[in-house]
Amino acid sequence: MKAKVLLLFILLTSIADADYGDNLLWRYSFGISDLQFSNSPDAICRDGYQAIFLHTNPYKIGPLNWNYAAGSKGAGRWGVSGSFRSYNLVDLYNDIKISIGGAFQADGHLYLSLETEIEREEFKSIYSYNHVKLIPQAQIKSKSESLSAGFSRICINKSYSSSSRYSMPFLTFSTYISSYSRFSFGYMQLEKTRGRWQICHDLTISEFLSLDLGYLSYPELLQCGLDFGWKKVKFSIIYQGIDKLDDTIIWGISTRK
Amino acid sequence: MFLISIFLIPVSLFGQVRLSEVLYNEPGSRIRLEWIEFYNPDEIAIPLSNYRLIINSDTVNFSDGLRIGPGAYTVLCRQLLPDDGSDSFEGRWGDSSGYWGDYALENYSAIDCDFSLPNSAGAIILIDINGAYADSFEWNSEGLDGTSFERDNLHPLSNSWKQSSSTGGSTPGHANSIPIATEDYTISVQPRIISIGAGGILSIDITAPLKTSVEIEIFNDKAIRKRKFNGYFAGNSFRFTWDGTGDNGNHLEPGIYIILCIIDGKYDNTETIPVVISP
Repeated sequence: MKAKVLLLFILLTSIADADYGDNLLWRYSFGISDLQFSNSPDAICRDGYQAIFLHTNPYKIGPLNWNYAAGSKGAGRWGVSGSFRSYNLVDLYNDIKISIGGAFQADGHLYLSLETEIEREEFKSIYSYNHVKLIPQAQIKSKSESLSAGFSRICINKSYSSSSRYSMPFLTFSTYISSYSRFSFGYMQLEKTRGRWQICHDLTISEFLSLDLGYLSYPELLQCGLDFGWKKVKFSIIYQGIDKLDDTIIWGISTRK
Repeated sequence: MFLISIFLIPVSLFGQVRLSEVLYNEPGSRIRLEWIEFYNPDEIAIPLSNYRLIINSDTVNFSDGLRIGPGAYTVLCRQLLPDDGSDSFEGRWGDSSGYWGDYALENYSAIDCDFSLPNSAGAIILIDINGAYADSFEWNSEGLDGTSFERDNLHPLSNSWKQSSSTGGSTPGHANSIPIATEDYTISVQPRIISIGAGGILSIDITAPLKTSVEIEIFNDKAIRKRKFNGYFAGNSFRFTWDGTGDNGNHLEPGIYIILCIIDGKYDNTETIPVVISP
């Protein structure tokens, strides 16, 4: 059953596209998400709720804004999730995404999720395009390991002709090295012939402080994230360093109950 | 110093070879990596044999046939090629093949010459074949270890020298690293949004001092480079037009793109301009 589901996702060929936010959200996409907010199916199913808000000016470009808010409510074997994302370049480009989705535990170790995303792109308030996309994901999770596979954004409609919209499968794996140290790696197809490898190491320094260090291969990007916990709230500062362009600093606040 | 003052007689500096960069304080304890760079700012080749170089009390004569091309550099090296595994200019600033000129970055003239430059204080004087003063450089401190002194390339006829701000500590055979100031150049991008469906073209207009290098790179919003262009100013202004295509000639995806303009090879002199491609 598990193998068939995974195979179905991997063989699924449709059209999809990558998003700038993938650069920022990858630290939240790994399974085994005890350290922070996560979009992984098991985290959506987990009893209780979680929510996050992130903001950045990519590459310290003032007029370029990216905001993301997401939340999920789980009931053990199932959960629902939703998100809102705005990405705009003042006066020139505005891109809004709203998504709703759900996840469920298919059996003891297998989790599935499906998210529907509606996107509206406006070019200088003159041309606007609507996109509808699906984000399916399957995850096999044990106590200390997690393997996820899926597609980032299968486009249901093509609002404008685009030559490079094709399936974007991704695969992530996480494992705990110890109770306070987690190692993760993943792969995401970004373009027809090129993909991105990502490696991340999370370290829980104390109940109030955790640190993650990561590397993305395409483009080469180093990331360092610090999470400061205060009661049920976690404040995050994430630094991304990239060659040539200016650094990106992401500010975040998340909660989980 | 008395010797220098004798030679400091104003003469026309146009059409003359110039000293443009000197490394006298080699990295660490090395002693064979000293070099002197000449630059020809003129539009015709100039025979180096028309000159003599006075290094402290020693005189260096150049052999017949040595010429510096227009706008080109020649480097006088204490040890051009390795001798029984010794340090060499080619090993440090070339590809360590044991030959000079067999590598892309070895695309300038380099000459082996027996000389020595003191670290604490010294002087180099360039005179023409008739003994008239042409150029000079003097120093009275060690400066930074392994870092050259460069003439201000923004004002090539000035006698202003500064330590190299290059990350490698020097720029032998290439334009000096001293950055031009922000107020010395302008960059304008119009329009900020183009439609590839309508055949839109975007113009990047740059004004900067003559012979300033310019590098333009266009990234998508995921920081993946899609287009690159570099060149030199033939005049004081430069225009690069972009039709929304990548290096492979194909139209890029609609979305946000980031134009990075690097002036004079220095990241201190960069402008980042976001633009949009619409369907």
